[in-house]
This record gives sequence, structure tokens and C-alpha cells, in this order.
Amino acid sequence: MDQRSEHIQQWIDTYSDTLLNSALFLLSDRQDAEDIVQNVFISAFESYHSFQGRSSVKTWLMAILKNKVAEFYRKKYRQTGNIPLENYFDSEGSWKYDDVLQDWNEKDDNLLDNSDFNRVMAECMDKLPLKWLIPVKLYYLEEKKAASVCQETGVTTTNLWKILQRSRMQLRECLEFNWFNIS
Amino acid sequence: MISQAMIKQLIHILVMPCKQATLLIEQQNAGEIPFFQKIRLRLHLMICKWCSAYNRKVHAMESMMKKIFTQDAPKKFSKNELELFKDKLKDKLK
Repeated sequence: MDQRSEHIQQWIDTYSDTLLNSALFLLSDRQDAEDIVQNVFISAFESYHSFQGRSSVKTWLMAILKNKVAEFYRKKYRQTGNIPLENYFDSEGSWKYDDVLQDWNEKDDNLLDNSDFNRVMAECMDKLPLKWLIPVKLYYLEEKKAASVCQETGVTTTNLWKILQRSRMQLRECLEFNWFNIS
Repeated sequence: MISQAMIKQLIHILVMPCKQATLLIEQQNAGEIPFFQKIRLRLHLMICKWCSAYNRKVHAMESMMKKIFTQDAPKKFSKNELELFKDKLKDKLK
């Protein structure tokens, strides 16, 4: 076995775990996750010679994964509801409606044990526009390190805050409509 | 002497629009909010019941998101699945 194959075999052993679970988080589907991670390793195998150890192996593989995920989303998903902030705020920047005042009636600690709620949550996440969804998921995947999310997605920090703000507005609305029965 | 106009101005600076406060909430959560903005946000949340209700929901969503990613089963690949995947792939890339 040449050095390239040897390295790739090692990397498969070391990084499959991280890559698969990251992919699963980003894609929410096991088969898609397996397919995409397999493609990551194939890409790594093919472009092995262009990897010159400038970053760590893990960083490099994760970067390939993120590209593949973005590509996957571009192909597979439609652009969905892109709700402008004007839906929530008037021209003065004040809340338009009072629905935000109604508290959620359930303890959030236990909500995630409920598989129905989990499904609603996942559906609401997937309704976010693609160009927000990846930064948002990465933000949680990278344990809220804004700088690295920005670096990987090419989004500016200012825009990342805006994306998080808008996604949050949309997620709240979706959860309240589909679960908490607030409208 | 502090004039009426200055007081008004001061309130305007401190009490920012909700649209901006909700943006600062995100920065606050990421631990990347500048000091002065942090104080403005705190003041805003003290007097604005809308944003403070919203803030509570943001916190609830935050702990859900965190839990979704840290919870083990069944969202993660099992040891068996992992080994199977590795073997299959290693075979392919020999």
C-alpha cells in the first residue's frame, strides 16, 4: 500500500465518527450522511496531494464536508420562506404583534423527550432558508464559535447575527404555530 | 445643566428599537456583545416586556438546540454502524 492509501485508511478510522455525526446533524438523514461522508473521503483521496498539511487533517476534512453539504442542499432543496424582519417589526423597530408576550406553556427541559415535539422542531428547522440553515446549524455544531462559522461559510460576523436573529424569529413563529398553539 | 433635550436624547440612545435589541440578544448569547451594548440591552429588557418575553423564548430555544446536538441516542451513529461504515469504505479506497 502506498503512503496515500495508508493515510486515508488511518483517517477513515480516526475521523469517521466526527464526520458522520456532524453530517447527520447537518442533514438529518442517516443515509445521506453516510453517502456524503463517503464522498468526503473519496475527495480527500483524490486531492490528497493538494493537502500539504497547512491545516490539521480534521479541519481539512471538515471543510470538504461543509462544501459537500452546501452543494447537497443547493441541489436538493428549494428556497423556502424568507421572512423579512418587517413581518415582525414596524418602521420604528417596535414589535408589531403581541403574540410574543404569550409564554410557552410547557417546561422546555422535558419537551425534547417528546418525539412529536422533536419532529416539529426538526421540520421547523428545515423550513429555514438554505442560506441561513447551514450557518445556523454550524453555529451550534461549532459550539457557538462565531468566528469559525464565519470563516467556513464566508458570512460576515454582522450578517451572522442577522441570520441568527431572523432564523430565531422564524423558528419561534413555527414552533408556536405548530406546537404551542399561539397565533 | 442637563437639558430636557439631552435627557430625551439619552433615553433614545439607551432605549433602542426592539428590532435592534433582538439582534443584540444573539450577540449576547454568543458572548460577543460589546460592553456598552450589553448595558443598553439590559436596560431595554428591563423596560420592554415584549423583548423580555422574547428573550425567555430565545433561552428556551437555546437549551433545546444545545440538547439536540449533545444528546446521544438515537441521533448518533452506533458503534456497529460506524465499524461497518469504516470497513466498507476502507475496502473501497484500498
